[in-house]
Amino acid sequence: MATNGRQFDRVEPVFAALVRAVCPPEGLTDELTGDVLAEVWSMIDALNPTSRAAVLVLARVLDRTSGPARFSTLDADAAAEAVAVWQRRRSRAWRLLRLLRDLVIVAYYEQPSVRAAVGYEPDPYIAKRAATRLATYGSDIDAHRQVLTEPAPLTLVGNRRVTVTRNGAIRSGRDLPGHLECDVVVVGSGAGGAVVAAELAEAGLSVVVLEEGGHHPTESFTTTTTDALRRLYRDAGASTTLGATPVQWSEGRCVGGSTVVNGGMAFRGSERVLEQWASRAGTRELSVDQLDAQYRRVERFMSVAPPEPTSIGNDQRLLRAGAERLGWKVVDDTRAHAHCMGCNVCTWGCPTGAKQSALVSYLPRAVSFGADVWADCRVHRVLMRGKRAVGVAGTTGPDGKPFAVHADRVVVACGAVQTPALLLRSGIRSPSRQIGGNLYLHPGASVTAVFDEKVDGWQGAHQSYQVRQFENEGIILAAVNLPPSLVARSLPINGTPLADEMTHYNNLVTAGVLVEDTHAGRVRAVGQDTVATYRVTDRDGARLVRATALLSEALFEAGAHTVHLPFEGKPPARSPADVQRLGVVGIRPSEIATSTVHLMGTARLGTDPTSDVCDPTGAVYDTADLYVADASLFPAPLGVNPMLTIMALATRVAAGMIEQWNHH
Amino acid sequence: MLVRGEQPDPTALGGWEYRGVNMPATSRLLGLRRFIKGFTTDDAGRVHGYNKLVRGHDLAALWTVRPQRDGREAYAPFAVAPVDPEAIDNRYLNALLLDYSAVPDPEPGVAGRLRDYLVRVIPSSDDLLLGRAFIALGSRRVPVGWFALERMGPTD
Repeated sequence: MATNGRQFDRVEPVFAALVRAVCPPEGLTDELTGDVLAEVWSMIDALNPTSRAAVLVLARVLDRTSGPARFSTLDADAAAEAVAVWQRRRSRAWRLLRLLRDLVIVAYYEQPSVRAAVGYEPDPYIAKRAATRLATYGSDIDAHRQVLTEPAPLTLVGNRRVTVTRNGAIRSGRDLPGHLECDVVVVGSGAGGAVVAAELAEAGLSVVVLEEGGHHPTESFTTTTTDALRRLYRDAGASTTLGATPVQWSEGRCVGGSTVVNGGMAFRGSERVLEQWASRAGTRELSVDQLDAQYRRVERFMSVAPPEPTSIGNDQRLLRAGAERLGWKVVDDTRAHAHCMGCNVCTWGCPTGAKQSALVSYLPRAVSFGADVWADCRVHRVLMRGKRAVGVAGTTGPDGKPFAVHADRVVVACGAVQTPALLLRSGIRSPSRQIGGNLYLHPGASVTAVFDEKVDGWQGAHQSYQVRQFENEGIILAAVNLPPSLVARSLPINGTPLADEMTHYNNLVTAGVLVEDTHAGRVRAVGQDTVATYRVTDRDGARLVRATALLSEALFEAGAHTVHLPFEGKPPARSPADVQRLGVVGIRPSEIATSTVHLMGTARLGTDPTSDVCDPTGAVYDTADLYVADASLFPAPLGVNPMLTIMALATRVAAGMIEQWNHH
Repeated sequence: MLVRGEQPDPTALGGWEYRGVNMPATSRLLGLRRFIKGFTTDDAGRVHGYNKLVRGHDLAALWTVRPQRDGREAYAPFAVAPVDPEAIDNRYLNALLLDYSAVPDPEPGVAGRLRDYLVRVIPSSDDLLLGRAFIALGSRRVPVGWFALERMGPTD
């Protein structure tokens, strides 16, 4: 067996037993087992130190609490039975131990031979689609690239000229000098940070962007789930809120932030929600009319458009057909894309550059106007002189080389978890005491529907439609294909039954629900760690159950014969009646496998410094020269994919900063 | 209210006197319940101010100045400026700071150590202001109390 670090050596036998217990036995050679264990270790190694330590402790707990004999000494049948006993208990302990099972299952189904065996071989398909895209739409693509670097300033700062200097660059933090000075330092290079950087650089200011994650250009993206989770996501995508119903959440950690790993959906906030926002925040500046100009500007730079007809996958068509037969409203997704050809690996980084993440849109724009982007730089604190922000300090590279960037203005755009954590660690305390509060996260759940017909859901765009029939209840439904490893992880079966089910991988539609939550959690900085606590209320839990039932109904209407549900201990549904019965039985929130990729609200903007964190310009109350420009600003949940709104608000923040700069 | 208040326009205060009322009960015992605060603008455009004691503590009675023992009416001068975020006195960034030590000739004793924060109560109006007073003891700031100012009339 390969040894993969001394820490793993001690628990490797436990994971080896888990492989025997949960992986299909057919074809499970020593070599394959070794490869799976190597993959498991590389995922554990990608976790933050606290999570990594927790996983290793869990492994030791599993080893000692599975019966008279140590788990690591059990043969395949005995180990499988031990896991089944844990699973039947459905206890909190199982939920923790399940993390270990999930690691093994994901690692197994990421092995090339296993992926091929279930009929998932995306690389040749993607290569063909990429070539078609260039051949068919080359001139369109070039035209959009030109739009990205053409001057179109919001307004200029003072007498500074706009120059397309191309002196900016994206560089590794290893080359970062120990000290830099600039007009504006932006922490975070995702949706908000990239927009602010581009707008301010174009206005004539010197801008430095600091990104904690690495720089991974388009050509470096692969279709390997675990590779993407390690390189592009924080903590390998395995973050979880603390609470009775843990909500698994993931965020990007790379140049371009979460826009590199999202599906590219680009929706404006609805009139209903924006009116609520305007009322809550005490300003009409968040109304539909007032945000229109910012939305239009962002839509132009992000090439927001409906789906390319040839990119729509069968999974999308099936959900649409089922929903429309039920008389439900279905809308085309508007996405940020330049002729997406439906490679369906958006969440591992778009390998063709079609998805207009910040990496290929606003950041090149920022760089073309002279902004410098430094990757691999973790900012530890905002430097304050009294209450004035004067820069940031942090470390870079594996050696933790310290650096400081002094600036006239500081913009924090690290996302709704890291932004409040950074502010709190920097000693910033808002009069409202709400930094980190009001964490909303659109809790979601997913189902796996099995069809008799071939679906090949991975051949088509990540998402092309949304069912909006229940939008006013705060419910959205959509199909989203998952790779085999994540489908297998979601199914509550192991071994041969799992293998049997996975032979139907190309007959599956995986789909999810999004619920606009009504209860907020909180983000706290605990030393250098960040902790998010959140409770799924009975009300939101009931809506998750209802949304899942509606989604299942649509999939049955489309022809599914089985729907695997996200409810612990519940068997798959074989008919709509099975799903309806769930409403009678009752599902507790803690029994729902919940996840999200949308986090917001933790530095909310508004006109009242006693209840809000930032003013309507994004300036942090009770500070000078410190701004927030990301989803933390949201006054309340948005109810749809947030990228476009983050960028629109960031555009407003930048415009306000330019106006302030000119005023002074 | 102080946190939500707007920063008054210092140049708009210059040339006006305000009726002032100290809130704490102790101000009545000390004979400081009622006072007048005046603001002036010098040739360089800087805004300064002064205080005047008022006889009695009945808010409905006439506001009659009570001279100091040395005969002065105006005493305890101060400088007026927006709060500097980098200074020690940066508690309310949305306020004006009345700094009783930042004048050429500070009032001796406690009065020369005062710091007042001042905000508008009514948006866009300098007619009614809310203040909070502190005493500076080295780098420490000891809260003294709240006061309100109502525009009275032009300075003499």
